Amino acid sequence: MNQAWISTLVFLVVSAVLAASVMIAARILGVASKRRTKLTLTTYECGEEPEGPAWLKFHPRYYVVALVFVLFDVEAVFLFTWALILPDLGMLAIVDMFLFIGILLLGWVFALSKGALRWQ
Amino acid sequence: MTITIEDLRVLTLPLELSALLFLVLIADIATSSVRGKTFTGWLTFWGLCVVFGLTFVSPVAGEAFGGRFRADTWTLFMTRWFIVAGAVVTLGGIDRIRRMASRRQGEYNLLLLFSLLGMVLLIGALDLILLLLCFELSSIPLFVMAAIEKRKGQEFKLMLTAEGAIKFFLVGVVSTPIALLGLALIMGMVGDSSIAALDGATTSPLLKVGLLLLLSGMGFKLGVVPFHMWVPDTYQSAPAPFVAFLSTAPKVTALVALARILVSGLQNRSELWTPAVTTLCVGTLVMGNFWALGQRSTKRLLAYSGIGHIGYFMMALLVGDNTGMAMFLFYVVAYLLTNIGTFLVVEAVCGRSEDESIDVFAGLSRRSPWLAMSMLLFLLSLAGIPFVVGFWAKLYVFIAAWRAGYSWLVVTGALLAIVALYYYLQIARVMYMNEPKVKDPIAVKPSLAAGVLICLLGIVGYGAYPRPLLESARAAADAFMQTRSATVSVSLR
Amino acid sequence: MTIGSVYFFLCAIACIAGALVTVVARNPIRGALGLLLTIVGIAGMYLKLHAQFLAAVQVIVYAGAVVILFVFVLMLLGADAMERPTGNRSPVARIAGGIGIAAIVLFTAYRAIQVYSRATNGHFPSLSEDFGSVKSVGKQLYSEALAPFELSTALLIVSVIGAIAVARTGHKRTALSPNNLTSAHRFFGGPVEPRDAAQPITKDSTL
Repeated sequence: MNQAWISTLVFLVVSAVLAASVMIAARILGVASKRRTKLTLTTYECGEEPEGPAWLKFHPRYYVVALVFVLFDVEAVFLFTWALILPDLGMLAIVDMFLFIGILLLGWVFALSKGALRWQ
Repeated sequence: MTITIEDLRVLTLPLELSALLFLVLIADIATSSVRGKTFTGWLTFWGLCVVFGLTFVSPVAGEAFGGRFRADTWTLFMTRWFIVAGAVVTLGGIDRIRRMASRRQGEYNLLLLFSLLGMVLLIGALDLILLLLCFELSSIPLFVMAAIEKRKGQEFKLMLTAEGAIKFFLVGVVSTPIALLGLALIMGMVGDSSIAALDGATTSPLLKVGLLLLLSGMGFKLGVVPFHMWVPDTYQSAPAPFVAFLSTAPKVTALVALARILVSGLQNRSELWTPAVTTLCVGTLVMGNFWALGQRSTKRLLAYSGIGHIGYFMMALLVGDNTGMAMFLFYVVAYLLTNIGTFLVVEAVCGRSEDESIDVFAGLSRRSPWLAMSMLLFLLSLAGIPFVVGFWAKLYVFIAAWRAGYSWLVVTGALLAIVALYYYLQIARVMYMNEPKVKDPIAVKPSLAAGVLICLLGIVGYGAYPRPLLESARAAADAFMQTRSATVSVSLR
Repeated sequence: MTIGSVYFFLCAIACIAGALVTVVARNPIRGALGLLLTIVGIAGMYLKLHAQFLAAVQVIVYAGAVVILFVFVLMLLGADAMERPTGNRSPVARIAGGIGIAAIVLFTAYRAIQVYSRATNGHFPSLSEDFGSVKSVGKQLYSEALAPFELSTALLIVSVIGAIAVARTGHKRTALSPNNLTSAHRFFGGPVEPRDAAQPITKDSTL
């Protein structure tokens, strides 16, 4: 049986232990200043003073870029499976995938020609 | 399984449509710098005309993708009527889209074609997964098309458009997972994704839960009564030529998807789904028609009337045999032609002023007698008055339902048809009796007039002589009910 | 308690905690990150069900792309729109509604398990060795399910065309009044965009 979840569990446990041990080690070994002032709590203790909220409004133009990204993300998922079975299916799979990519490229060309990816 | 030449031959019609899509896409990219062009709209219209003509040249029958897709008399019949609907709606909408969404005409026509492609593939799909994907392909473009108009400077109208489109979108995307979960449960109980295997499902509560979820998911898309809230808002705020499409072809698509699973797939297990569908049918008939009574906006009134019509469709599905499906198909054609025509007239009358209250129709008979007469005929067809096609459609559905033992449902339907007559004639009364506020005739663009004329000829012609349509509907219904046929044939009617 | 059930409970806790954060969080960004936790938890459950491919898709597409889109939308609205509207429904109605829905779902699940375990007598058919692996899914996808696969490209294209039709901005740039400027305008002269390093940042108030 293929037990992929066991390795995931081991990975989770190891990463949790690692992260916790680093924090505990820092607590024990680190030289922490006992005095908590306003300055020690700021994000950057030196340099330019931050001002205003950190959340900026993004321009809606980013949204189209994000959506085109999702398109090719999904394509990448299909490419994984395709790469694995390529030796078994041969020519048919190649034709399939190039049709798939071709149609998706058409969408990309459309986005490009409509100026959706252009910064004004 | 490999794709063979035979497969591609079976897929001729969808492939022709895809070729048209590709052409429009290229044309749109090539002319993207030109503003205000109607080129893609005309290309879409003439392309659809060519595809329609090609359906008469060499109809093919057979199965593709290892039995997942089948082309036969049924697909030919439905494809033709979907293409007619798409072409008429494109023709009627060219001017409106040029005026209101001049920078998005290409996108609008492309999305319409994608939606049509999904519909044309769906009617031949014999596999639940393919069915669902085609259904999504046919419905997702509509969300965007509902929001295609962006008005500058008219904040209130803009907000209305956004509200209608968002409601439509949210209902659409929430109902899809519901239907998908239902399909997953059904598939789990059947153990196979093909329609033909549905008959062998073990009767279990999970199967019933699956069917119920499927019905509610599809109910949202159809706008049957407990799930109808989005329909009037979306119809009111979207451009009328688009509503002409939205209120017909996608509804028929959803009904066909339901019919494929329930009527054709579970034809020997009808006890599983008839109670639920009967409930929905009665609720839709009663509430749809009564809510329409108080409406002062034409588009909202027609939206509720459309909800009521879904009830008659479901009545035809409830019959559940070849005759019922044939009458269903006759009703489909009658509804397609009539409703598209009605909304195109609404666009002609209310499109410029953006005011779609019934009062705008006042004295239409004196302003534009032809427009008033066509609206009257469409309304009579919607109400089911002799001798326009809507009369035969209602009559045939009633006869089929009566023979199948649904006499009480027929009585309910007939009574509600009388209620419907009242609100349809209200518009007619305003058109013919009231004094017009403005005397000058309404300027109608030739493209829009042509769209109205096609629908008018259809309803009058089939109303006078319904036999050819009835016979082709019968042949299509017979082909539809065969789930595991070895002999696939096609007749050229 | 076997190690398998420990793993399952970890995933279940992640799912439920994430879902709770999504619903309860006052800050929408935090809600989106709660959703991320839920999605990752579900991916873990897919692994336990031998659906490795689904788990990978869940992480790549949902955690990697869909949540990003969510966060994008929230950032488009900006911090100004993040005030959560206070509902006027009483907490009693909300709690009763939640309990009602939970009861329906639990009852359905209970009945389903009962019926299903009776039908199969507690035994499930054994799966093939490589069930759910990327390779077996790929084999299905490129032979049996070729038609839906190619059709999905049409869906993806529709999403791109739709996004362009809806989100493409063709509006003129409108000036903002100085007291209506967001911090982005005050400090960067507009929303942060990739800009030429040679081009100086000016504090003009137009967008």
